[in-house]
Amino acid sequence: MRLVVIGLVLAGATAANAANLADTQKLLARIKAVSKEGTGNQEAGAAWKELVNLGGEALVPTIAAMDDASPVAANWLRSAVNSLAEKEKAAGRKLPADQLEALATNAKHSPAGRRLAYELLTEADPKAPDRLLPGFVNDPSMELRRDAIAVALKKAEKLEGDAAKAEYTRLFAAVRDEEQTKTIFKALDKVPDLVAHFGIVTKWMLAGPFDSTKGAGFDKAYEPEKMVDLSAAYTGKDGAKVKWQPHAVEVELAQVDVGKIGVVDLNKALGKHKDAVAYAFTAVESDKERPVEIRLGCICAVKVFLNSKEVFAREEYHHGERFDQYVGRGTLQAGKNEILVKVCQNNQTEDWAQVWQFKLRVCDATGGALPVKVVTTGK
Amino acid sequence: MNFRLTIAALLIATGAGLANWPQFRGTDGAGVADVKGLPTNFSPTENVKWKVDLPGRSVASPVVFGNRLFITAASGPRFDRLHVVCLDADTGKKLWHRQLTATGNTACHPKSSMAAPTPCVNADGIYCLFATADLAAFDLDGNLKWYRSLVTDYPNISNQVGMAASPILWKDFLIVPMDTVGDSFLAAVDTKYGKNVWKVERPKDINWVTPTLRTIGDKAEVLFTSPKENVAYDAADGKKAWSVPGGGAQVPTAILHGDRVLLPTRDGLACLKPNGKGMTEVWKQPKLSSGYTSPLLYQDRVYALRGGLLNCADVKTGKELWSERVGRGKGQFWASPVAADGKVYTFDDNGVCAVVQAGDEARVLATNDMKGEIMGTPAIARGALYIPTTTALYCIAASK
Repeated sequence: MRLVVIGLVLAGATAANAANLADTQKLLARIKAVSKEGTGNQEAGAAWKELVNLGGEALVPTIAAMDDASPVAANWLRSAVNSLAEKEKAAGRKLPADQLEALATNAKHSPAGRRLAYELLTEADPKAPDRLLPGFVNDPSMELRRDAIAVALKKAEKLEGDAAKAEYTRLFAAVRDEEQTKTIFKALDKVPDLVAHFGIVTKWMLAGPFDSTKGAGFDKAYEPEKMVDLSAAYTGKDGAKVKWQPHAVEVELAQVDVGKIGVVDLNKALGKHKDAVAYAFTAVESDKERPVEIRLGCICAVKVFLNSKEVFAREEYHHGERFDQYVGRGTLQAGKNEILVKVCQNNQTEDWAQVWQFKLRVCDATGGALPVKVVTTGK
Repeated sequence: MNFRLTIAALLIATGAGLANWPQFRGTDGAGVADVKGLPTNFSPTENVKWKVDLPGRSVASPVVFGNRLFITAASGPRFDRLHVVCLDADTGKKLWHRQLTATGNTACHPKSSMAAPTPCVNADGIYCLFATADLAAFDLDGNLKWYRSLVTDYPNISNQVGMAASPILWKDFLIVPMDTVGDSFLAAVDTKYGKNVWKVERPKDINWVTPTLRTIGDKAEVLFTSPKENVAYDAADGKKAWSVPGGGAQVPTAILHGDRVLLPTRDGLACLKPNGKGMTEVWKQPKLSSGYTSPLLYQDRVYALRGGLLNCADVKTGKELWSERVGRGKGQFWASPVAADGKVYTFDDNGVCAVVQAGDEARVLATNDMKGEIMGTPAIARGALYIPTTTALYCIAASK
């Protein structure tokens, strides 16, 4: 009789759990339906409150729901997780460390969700970083990878000789962060190839200047935007004859700052021009179709086209330039892929507003180089 | 009794809600509080009621509503983790902490942060705009009311020097300034669900000005200065009410004196009065140019910081009264001066705080060193001065 009662209780609990899970998923779906300009906010706000009131059982499903959430919905979910975790802790309940660890270590989940699970786990289990971080050195989550490499670098300081060399070589293969790259670069005996490691493009074909008086060149599609013909001649700004010319960026091997490598200085390459447009062309060969991130830095207005499709545009002048300032996302096709960059210069007269340059790299979602070959005919 | 009712009861009991500091530079954006007994001398160890470390870098101001204090911060190598923290204003105890991931560009001037705009708060919620154009509303207990990624809505929003203008509240509208070189606008968003009520195009230029709300009977105007045009928008529908041609400053916020507007310009401060159709200039004082900070009106005197000098003028005439050096060493002024208890407080980015006697004569009462980088304008409420450094928040109050 006692077993029957226990069985009934367990069956009831299981059914209740299933019902709760179904409720949770319905609420998560309502939150994930948010879209532009506040559409869905009313429904999502009500669902958010209901979700948080479900208590701790909703914690892990909410983190997992970040997997296919839009960036907007992911922030709704992140704040719900914050609230759920706070309430659990305030009630004196422990966070579900096992479930959080399972989620944090499963690379099939979103990097953002895994990182969030990891942070909660470290509160529930302070020993988790020692146990988990060594496994995150090559992680798709940049935050987990950065923390893992930071810990590994600290340990590497105590190594000597071949052991140190091997460890820094291993970490260099994984590193994506600018500052950590500098640390590893300085520790290695042999100068590492930052160009290859980060997929920095150093060979280009350049064409310009074209006219951009009053900034009109940014939206005007000159001939190279319609079709790149490297043998073509164009009529450029003020009637100038414009032809494609090869340009190879000089790389200083001792340069430890990856953000300073691969800069295409258009003032030097094409001459100093104001109210002007320049085009830069390169091509990469891929052995198969694959997602790509085209990351660039540019202090001027810029557009990037991948196989004639615009993947990034920003009309902003002289407000700064940094490593991986912008990211254009697309897909490389098997075979040759064309990358066209349009860089516009305005007519500001201040000393600091004369720079006309960009830098670009071709990489995967972690920021590491893709196995592609640059086939531009730059010298 | 829930928190909202508690607050309502508290406000009725205390008479007017003057204990609050609900937005950038407090009530009406004036930078003035009706608080007595503020300490003149303080330091990281003297007259400190509590101190909390922030979860990231902040150049925003704290805001206070009832016994709750709110502050934002941004962390991570690229400032892409955004934080909203609610503290007990009297004890510094953390009540809740929410986080968001930045959806917009996180580039900015090295002195700034993605937590640069100051949030605003009322009984219904805390409204937080970040320099990434992420906009979130929470109720006072930390429940998310709504969230918007303005960059998702308007992808060409761009200010890589770092956006810092703060939103303000009028009735059920959150007025959101977003002057950028790409998508550039001023919008009113309903505070309940975060949808646009109105949205007007603005010139494509970066601007750090927090709008000023000017109420006229049941109506209100949103004053917005910029180098090209100084415009007053009807707060109800966003229509242009009046404008005066350019020369407006790009950072300081206009303040009000009765029906007059004290308008920061590139070369001083202009006092404007309504003429039925728009505004007429009453006086202009070049000495009241205020750099990155906003001018302060306190007890019929106007104060403005420039180049380490605190300049004071009569608000009726604009006549200069005195000028006193309050800066020490290489400190620059980003935080705006605030006033209460007969004193004007200035703060530089080396953490030096001068306490100046308000009035017709220059008299520095104390020069305090908080030994931290002060960028955000402090708040005054509940008998305390809440001083944010970029990494911590101090509650300064007289020891009992």
